[in-house]
Amino acid sequence: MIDMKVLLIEDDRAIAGAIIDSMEAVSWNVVHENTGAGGLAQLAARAWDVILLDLGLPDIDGIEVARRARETQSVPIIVISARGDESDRVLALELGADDYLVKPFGMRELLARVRAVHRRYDQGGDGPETGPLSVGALTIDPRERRVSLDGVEVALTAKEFDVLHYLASEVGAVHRRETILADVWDMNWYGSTKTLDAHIAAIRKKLGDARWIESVRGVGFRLGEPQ
Amino acid sequence: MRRLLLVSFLGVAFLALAVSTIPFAIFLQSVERERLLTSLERDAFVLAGRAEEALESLGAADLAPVRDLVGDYRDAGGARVVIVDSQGSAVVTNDPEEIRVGLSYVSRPEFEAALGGVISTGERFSDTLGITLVYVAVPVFSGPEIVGAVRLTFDKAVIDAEVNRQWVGIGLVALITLALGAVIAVILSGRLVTGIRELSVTAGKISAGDFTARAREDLGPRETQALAGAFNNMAGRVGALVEQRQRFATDASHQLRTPITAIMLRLERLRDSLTLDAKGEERFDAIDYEIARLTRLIDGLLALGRSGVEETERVEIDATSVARERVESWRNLADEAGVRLISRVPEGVFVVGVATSVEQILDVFLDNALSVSPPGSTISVDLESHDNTVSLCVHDEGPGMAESDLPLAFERFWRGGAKYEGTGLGLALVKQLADVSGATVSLGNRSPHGLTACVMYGVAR
Repeated sequence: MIDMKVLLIEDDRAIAGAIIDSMEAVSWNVVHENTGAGGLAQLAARAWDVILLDLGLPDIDGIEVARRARETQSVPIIVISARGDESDRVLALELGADDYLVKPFGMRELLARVRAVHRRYDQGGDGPETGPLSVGALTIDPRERRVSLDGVEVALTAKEFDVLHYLASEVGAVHRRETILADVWDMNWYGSTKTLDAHIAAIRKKLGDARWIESVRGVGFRLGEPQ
Repeated sequence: MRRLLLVSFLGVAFLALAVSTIPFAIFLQSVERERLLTSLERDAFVLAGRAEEALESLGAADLAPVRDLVGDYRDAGGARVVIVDSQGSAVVTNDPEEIRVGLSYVSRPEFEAALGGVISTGERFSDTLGITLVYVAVPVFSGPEIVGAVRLTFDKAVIDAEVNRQWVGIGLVALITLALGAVIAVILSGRLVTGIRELSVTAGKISAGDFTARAREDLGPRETQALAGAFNNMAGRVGALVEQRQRFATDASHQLRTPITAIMLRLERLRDSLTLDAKGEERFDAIDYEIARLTRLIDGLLALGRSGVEETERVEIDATSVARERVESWRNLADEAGVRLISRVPEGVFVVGVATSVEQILDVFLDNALSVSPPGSTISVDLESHDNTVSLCVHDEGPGMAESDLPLAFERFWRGGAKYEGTGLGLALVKQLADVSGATVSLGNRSPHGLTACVMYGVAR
């Protein structure tokens, strides 16, 4: 992962600076462009490992940038946007983005997304990861949508599976409540964020040990093998 | 509105007719009576003049012309005539058979008066004839001496019939006037009401969330047209305001997300670059917590700005299924908190509201209930059908709420005295979802302590 070349197309200098700072801390190579036109020029000029694309650009709409980039290049594109509406996500993903990250997000989450998308490209496919994930005695199989613990199958509802799978995408990292809700549910959910707590409680119960999922008060949840 | 207009219009017309027609009819009746009495009196005096000589001499030959005269008078449609001598005995009558000639009439009060020199008019019931009579009796003078009396009688029913005939005429005129009035009232009220009806239909559309609806401005009288114009202006401005508000909420929340992201990234970076003791970690956790709260607040505001604007279409919702599903999904969380969750949810209850409103409202109620429920207490969820409504209530055994706070709890940013976590937007959102669903929400304290939160929906028709 060292020396990953990242093209950041983002017009807000504050957030661009923060992202660059975060990525340089893990020795990634980031080039920043303020405009869609500048970004497209950079795309044509060099090869990139991943593109981080903001949708609210001053000159060209971010979605249009994604569409044009997709025409010429096979490079992972992660959209970062303040707009979390389902229609925005669907459109961006339809037009060639590989992932959609809604602000606000943390550094670990961003790095995890970049790694995940990049890994998918390295494996040669552009579909989602389908191999089973293992966390200690816990195995999560996204293709079959099955979960087993010590070889014994655990019956989860569809939403419970989605939540667990989401948490397992990066073991040990704190997943923010809002991000999980935005990604597993859609943003049309105006109701209580405790809905998520209810699902977490159900998963904990079914896994037989509450320590599988740790609550980080007020922030979110973290999956990890009980110590 | 139209009925009211018709009733008031016709009511006024009726009253006006009654006030003018009834006294007129009464006046007409008395005039008719007077006219008849006067003509009888005149006839009586004429007859008295003719009878004077005959009564003086009382010869049979002298009486013959008088008899012929009263006979002709009767045949011409005149009254009954009785002529008596100074003793009160009838000498001439115009009855066809003259059977009453020779009878004494002195006992009749009008003859008594007439023989005493006084003209007497009036009406009385005649036992002999069995009808009410109108009479005129006049004395017959020969010089200063009274030589007899003439009485003319008329069947009162004939006068009444004449008066009635005139009353019927007046009544008919009044009825025709009323009928014409009704036709005019129907036309006018129709003209008045179409404009108003158009306005009310448009107002209905707007309140259902269609801010593009406009009323026609060319219906009804000028005032209604002006009202429609003003209404359309207002609708335009309200529509623009709602759109602005919605855009503001969305824009503001999007604009806020970018700097928050920058803060989060910088903070994480800073935390990684520092070697922290437990106290330091705690401080960073506290900052993380506040950032998460800020994010929730932004999401809540965004949701509040959208709900009730984006989705206003009411659909039928299977409240039974939703309530059961939500209760089951909260059961584990309640278990973790050591709180018993029970529900009374009957089969097949349907309500009408915005698509996801039931589950969202129930979630906020359950969330609030759970956050105040001590371990070992019970939360119960009741779904009940009434005549035209369905109530969904969540009862907890927490501390309840100060009575003075109950009405405030649905306000934005009210946070129960800041004792509990939360953004203070949950119940505001509930209120908004209920409003667009045509439902009502309420909070009440329980005895001995605890809170009941209810939403009352309409049912499908």
